[in-house]
Amino acid sequence: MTETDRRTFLLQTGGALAAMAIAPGLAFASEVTLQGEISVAIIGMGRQGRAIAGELQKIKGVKVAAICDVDPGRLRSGARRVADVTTYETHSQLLDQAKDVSAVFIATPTHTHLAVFKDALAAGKHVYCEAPLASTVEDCRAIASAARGAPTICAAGLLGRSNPVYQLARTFFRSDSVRDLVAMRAQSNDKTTWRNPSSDPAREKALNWRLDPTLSTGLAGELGTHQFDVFHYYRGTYPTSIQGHGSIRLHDDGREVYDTVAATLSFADGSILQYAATLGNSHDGTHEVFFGSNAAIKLAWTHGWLFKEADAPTQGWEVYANRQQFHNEEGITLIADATQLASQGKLKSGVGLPNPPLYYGLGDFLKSVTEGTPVATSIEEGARATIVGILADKAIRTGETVTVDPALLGGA
Amino acid sequence: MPITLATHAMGTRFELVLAGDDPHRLNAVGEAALCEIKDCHRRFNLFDPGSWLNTLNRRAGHESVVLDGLTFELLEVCRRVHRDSQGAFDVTVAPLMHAWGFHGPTGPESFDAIHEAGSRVGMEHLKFDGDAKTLRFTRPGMELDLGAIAKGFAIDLAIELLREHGITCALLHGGTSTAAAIGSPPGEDGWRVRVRTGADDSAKDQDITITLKDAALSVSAPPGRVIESGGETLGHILDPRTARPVTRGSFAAAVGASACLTDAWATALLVLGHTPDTMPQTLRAILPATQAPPSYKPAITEHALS
Repeated sequence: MTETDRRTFLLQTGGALAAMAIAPGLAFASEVTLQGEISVAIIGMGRQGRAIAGELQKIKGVKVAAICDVDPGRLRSGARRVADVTTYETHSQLLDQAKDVSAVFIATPTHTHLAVFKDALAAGKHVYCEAPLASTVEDCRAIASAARGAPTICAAGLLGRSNPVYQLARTFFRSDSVRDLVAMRAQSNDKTTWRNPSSDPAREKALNWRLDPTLSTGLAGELGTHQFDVFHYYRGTYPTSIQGHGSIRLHDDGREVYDTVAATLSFADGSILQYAATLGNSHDGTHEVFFGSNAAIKLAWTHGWLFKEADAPTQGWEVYANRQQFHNEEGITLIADATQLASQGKLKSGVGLPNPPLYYGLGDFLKSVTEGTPVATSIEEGARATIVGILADKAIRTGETVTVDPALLGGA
Repeated sequence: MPITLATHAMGTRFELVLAGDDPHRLNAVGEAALCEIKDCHRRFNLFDPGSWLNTLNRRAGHESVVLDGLTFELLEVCRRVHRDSQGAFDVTVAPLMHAWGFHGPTGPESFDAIHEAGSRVGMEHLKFDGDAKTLRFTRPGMELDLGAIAKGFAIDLAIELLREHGITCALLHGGTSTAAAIGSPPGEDGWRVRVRTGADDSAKDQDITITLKDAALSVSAPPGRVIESGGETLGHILDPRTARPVTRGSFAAAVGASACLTDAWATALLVLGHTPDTMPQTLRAILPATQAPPSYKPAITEHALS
């Protein structure tokens, strides 16, 4: 049998079956399709609100009918990016007057989420709330409590659970490809000031809430929360204690919120997650790694790879897997719907998500609202991840070991 | 003290020089300006299957698509330049770019395939409703490629943001083919930008220096992405009227208030090979006196801050 024949044989028989067995039920990751139409609103038109608008524009059947922001510049900028939209200065005005809107996306500063969330539920809206859900544990619990009693759909803006690459990699993680978990790591590197300018100096402080130590949850809260949820999603367990450190390494502009942090999150089984984030360097961006005795899985939001140990058993699907070289290692790209792509001869043409993770998160929420599909990231899980992020920030700020009370997470 | 920021977007590097009193504020404003560029990259990138442009390309063949304000503004400029350049500038050129092999590793397709692709090109085949702000392709298989204008549009948005935040002294360039300036460096009458017109540094005496103050400059040239066809090396600028790569000109440049307009007109001028009477009076065209050799790569090569 020639190499080509062998590949074809494996592809059509064992290889394809193995891949199907590993990735059951994954939808093709190219486009979100909704049955019917829905009218929605975005509350908060900063960078995240604008990003939400940009992704919603791509989903057929979604009409962004209303937006609001207390900052006139942001509202103007947002209106320019959304077709035929009504603008409001406050969320109260929007909720009061935009009667045709059935769902809202909350993208306001973290510490304002609770008030907006409650008002949106009181107005009878379905609610997608950006993460972290809140800046205090008390607010997290209040949001979770409000969501529990709500007749409408609520979802948290944590994107790992709706990400097709992460869903696929999770099937590998749970199917013994990694084998014994020995360590975990997460990093978030991005060279940026985290400072928002304003044409109105009086608005500058309000816009820079992330640099206000009384309001901000720091890098671990604002960024780490999204990554901590990935580990919760994969393992179904939460850390029991957290240690941390931080300092200002680059942006010495009078800020008190650290621009570089590190934390160690310990779990009950003895496993450890090492977390590091900086605003001073962009190398290798944002990613999470699960290190196992058979393989490591590296997840980078739009891409995922499996790095096998030399003594790990070979599986049938590997013969047609796409590979990428990283220094002296080879990573097998984890592609959503690999079987379908392989059958179409397109496996090598697509090695990452065709859309940003946000697109799939928004799509999942809209499907829950319009078709009743299960919510990908519940407010309950969002609250747990947020609380872990807040406690990690506390550990980093104080330099003390913070114990994570399971009751705190259980009741979230 | 000036500060410099940079970002990678639209397949090139954008660099921003800012001068002012508060470096921390300059950094923050500069980052926000570069975010505008990255936002345009995400929206209008033909090579990203998840971009808004590709969504628009997929849908507009089947239905009238409602446009957001930014896309509408950009396409309005495209329509004006297309009209004023008598079709030399045309953002529906994508099928031809594919057929000629400029978008992939396979090289040119057959004559018939190129001919067929040409039938899907022409902004006159766009149904553009200015009141409803909708777009529809009237021929199947049409596709927008905003590569000849999106960079300038992104720079205009960034410059607009810088001005809104009170910046009075800045220079922003994208891939050394389009630059825009706010004000002038202290003690200078503008930002001096050198346009290399020779094949290499040995021909520096042919360079043109342009002083920019509250103005934009774009240069266009056939080289860059090239393909081999019939023993010829062909550059990536296509004449949409003939469906063939441009060979007659060696470079063209345009100076004006808007980077979006100069970017589009630099391409139009290269295709035309002359300055048409219909070009807006607010623009200044710069075309070579003589034909340059094929290896020639004109570019904005440096800027100066005193």
